[in-house]
Amino acid sequence: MTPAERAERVAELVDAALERGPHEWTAYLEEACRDDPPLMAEVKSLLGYQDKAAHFIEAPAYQTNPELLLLTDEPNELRPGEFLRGYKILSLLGEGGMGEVYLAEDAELGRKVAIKLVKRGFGRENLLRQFRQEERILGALNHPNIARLYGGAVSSEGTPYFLMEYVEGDPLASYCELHQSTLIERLQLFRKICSAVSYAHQHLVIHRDLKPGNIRVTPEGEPKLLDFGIAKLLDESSELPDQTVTLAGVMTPEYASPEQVRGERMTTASDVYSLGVVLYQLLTGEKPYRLTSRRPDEIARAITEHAPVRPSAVLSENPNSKVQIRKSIRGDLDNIVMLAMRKEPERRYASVAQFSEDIRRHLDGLPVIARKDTWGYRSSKFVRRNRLAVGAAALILLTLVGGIIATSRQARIARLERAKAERRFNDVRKLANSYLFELHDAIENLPGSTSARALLVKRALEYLQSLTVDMQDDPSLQREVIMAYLKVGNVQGNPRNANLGDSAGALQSYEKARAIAENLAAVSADPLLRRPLALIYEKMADVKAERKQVDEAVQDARKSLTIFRELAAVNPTDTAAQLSVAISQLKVGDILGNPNFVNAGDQSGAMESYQVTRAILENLHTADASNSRVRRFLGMIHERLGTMSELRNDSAGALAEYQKSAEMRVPLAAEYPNDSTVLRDAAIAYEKIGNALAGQGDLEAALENRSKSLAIFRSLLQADPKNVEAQESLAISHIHLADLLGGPEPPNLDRTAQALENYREAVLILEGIASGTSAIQDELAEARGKIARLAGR
Amino acid sequence: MKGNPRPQSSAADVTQILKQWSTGDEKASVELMPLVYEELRRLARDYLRRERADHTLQPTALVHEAYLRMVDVKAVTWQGRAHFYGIAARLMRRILVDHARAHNAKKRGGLEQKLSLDEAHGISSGGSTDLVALDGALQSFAKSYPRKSEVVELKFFGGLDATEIAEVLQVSQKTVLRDWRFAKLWLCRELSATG
Repeated sequence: MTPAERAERVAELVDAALERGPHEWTAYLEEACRDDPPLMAEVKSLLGYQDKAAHFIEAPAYQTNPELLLLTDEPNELRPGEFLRGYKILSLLGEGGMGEVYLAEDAELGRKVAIKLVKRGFGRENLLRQFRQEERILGALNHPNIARLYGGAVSSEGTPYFLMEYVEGDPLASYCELHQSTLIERLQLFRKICSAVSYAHQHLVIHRDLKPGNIRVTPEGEPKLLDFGIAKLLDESSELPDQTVTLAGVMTPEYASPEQVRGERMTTASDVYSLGVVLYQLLTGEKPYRLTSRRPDEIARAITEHAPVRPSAVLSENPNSKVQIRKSIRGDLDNIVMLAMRKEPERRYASVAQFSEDIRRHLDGLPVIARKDTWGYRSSKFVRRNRLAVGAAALILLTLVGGIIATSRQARIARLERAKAERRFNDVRKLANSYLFELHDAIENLPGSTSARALLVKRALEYLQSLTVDMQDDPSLQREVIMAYLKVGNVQGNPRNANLGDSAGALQSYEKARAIAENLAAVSADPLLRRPLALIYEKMADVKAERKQVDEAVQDARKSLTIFRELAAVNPTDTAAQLSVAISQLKVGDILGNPNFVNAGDQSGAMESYQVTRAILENLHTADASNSRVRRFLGMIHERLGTMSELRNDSAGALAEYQKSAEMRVPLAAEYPNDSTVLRDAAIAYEKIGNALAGQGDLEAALENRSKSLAIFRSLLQADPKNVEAQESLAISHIHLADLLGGPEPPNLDRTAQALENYREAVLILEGIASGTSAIQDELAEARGKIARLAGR
Repeated sequence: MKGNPRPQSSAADVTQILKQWSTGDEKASVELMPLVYEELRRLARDYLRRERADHTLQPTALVHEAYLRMVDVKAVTWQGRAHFYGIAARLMRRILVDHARAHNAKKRGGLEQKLSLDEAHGISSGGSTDLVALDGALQSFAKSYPRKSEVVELKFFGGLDATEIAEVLQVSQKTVLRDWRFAKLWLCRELSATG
């Protein structure tokens, strides 16, 4: 064989082997290379690189090594001797991501300045306008360790540039290197840097781009910070969406904080982070993340996700590092750096001053604030601890979850560390659910929590949605999204709970839930997946009725009922499924013709529906008389039936139904004295009986029942004294009792004094909550009016 | 300040050259090279700016972009396009490897520190493919496997996909994929041995 033929043969054999599984290689090659062991060795050697080669050079070179594209020998804009406005160019100082930086001389003042051209970057046109806005603030930064910003202008060719104090000296890292600075010197230098940043923070300027290259040290050993405020100008003048800008602005992303990488708002805590990175490098001479590529997504992942190696550990790996230094870094300094560099802004040092102070304490041999962090810190614990926190705490949580999401996405985009990504994915999901079910439910009954709930639920939904993008075929996740939409809808505008009054928005949310639920139900034979659909139709009916779209509401209520029936038919012995049918049937009745609700005016339809409900409930009750839910709904259906009897002017029938209702409700109230719903049900039952008795003229018996009702309302208020609804209920109860005792209109018992007492009681309560709804104001006016009429006799 | 005018390589010129080439005029490639080289360098700068700005790694091959910008697409046959892609990929290789070499030299000379008002470009030394070494390995590889090495050039440096490479090299896509698979093993071994 010629060498060329041999090479060809090697390639053929490798191909052929790769068409087979690895376990067949040996046998195949032994056969194919029977009389040529070197050939076999060559082929086997190449095949040995299969794993290693899998990701090798897969992406084009300009993607894996994009920095090489920047190293073009583009001619410089300005040459020594040329003039830019009144400045004579002396030399090129350097070339940065945005353009060149020149040393120039102010021809008039004879002072040296640095001129920074902004040749690249988006929104250059807006830069100057932005600069004019910030000029006063930036120009006012007057600190010995901050390089002055003299001004900004545009060249005759339209290139914006900044004029800055020229700082003679070396970049921080090389200065320390050249001067062989000791650890203590480095820390003292660093504290001066901190004082400059802290000064700027007091003047409301965040640097946003702190890195060793932006810090120079003069021959006198004074550090000077360059480019204060420039990063912000560059960011804000850009018209790109925030997130994209941030990474664009950061030419050396290793120093960017996690929140910056995520495109979130940057605060002084972001500078704390970047200073942490600067200190890290001062101590170790290395960057905190060992990046394997310059791909932005990988850098972002490292910053948002990976814990940096502790500085002392970096030094132990380096054979040249002095044991002495390593020892002095281990412990306090490790902890200080790690505290500054925590992923969560709110868990870092509260300020640069505090950061610097901790270093001073270390230098003075005092105990420091920073403690070793446990990276096992879980945000879910945070949720658990703060379950009841509303508002601010909730917002912090939202930020936290946002972070986890961002990182889990990054991880998944990179298709690396799949298991880890999935773990994070589950964390997010757990957290989103914790929002939805734990936090939301915990604050649900807090007065004024409606908008906080809305925010929680909305965010949780966003998180779940972001997860569904990659998990289209995960029914349980889809179910969570459906439930999230349902809750969003409820908070937006379901009249059955505290809501924001946005019924149109509520319907939209329900509609989205419905679309997903329909799909889910279509692809899966599992009947349980149809349950969410039934719940959605039920909620839609609530809201549509509220919006007076009664016919549609009836349709939706019926659709809901149909599904619940199907579900019950699958498992006829399932009490819960049967009970769901009963409740759904009851709701259909309400909406068809119950005068206490928005209804379609179909009273016979309502009656029919209620009869069916009662039959189901009675069957369930016969099967298991102890089921308290069944008893509760039996109490409710008899109340409904009583209402319908009243409507037909059948007062005897109404009384009988209300008494049956009380038979269910009163014992329940005795069994569950702490359940306000059950107690309220009992109070209403007595009230209704009282009404019916009064209608029949039995005023004494009516009075007895109304008194019982009032007693329960009073105990409910005692249990929850700030509850506005409980106060209102008690006041109404006083009014009703007073009407019966001796109101201005007959029939009554003529006990005017007692009547007045009760009206006054009502007025007293209502005045305390009079800033509430118009209904409360109406009731207050009614009680006052009746008092006036009685007094006027 | 001097402006930075667009290279005056009108689409008509390039299209004309490609036509000549397709009819067998080999000299055409010599004329084409400097034009494409300039355009690619310009695109490279734009590409990097874009990449930094929106930080999505677009799969756009610079070579495609150059083609669309420089050539009157309707007037050129597939052979013309294949010629263009071939040349452009080779030039991309040259640009990137030259830059990598210059970058390494700068680092050795310690120039980087002086440059760093903005800390130069923050280039990390580890990790990303050492293009200079790869270029060397690819040259050795080409001695035994000329066509396979072209596949690498077109794919890794040019960013072309298998279909396009098949067109440029006049082989089947399957052959391209096999060549690529083999070349990766070979180069990976070569670089492991020297690195």
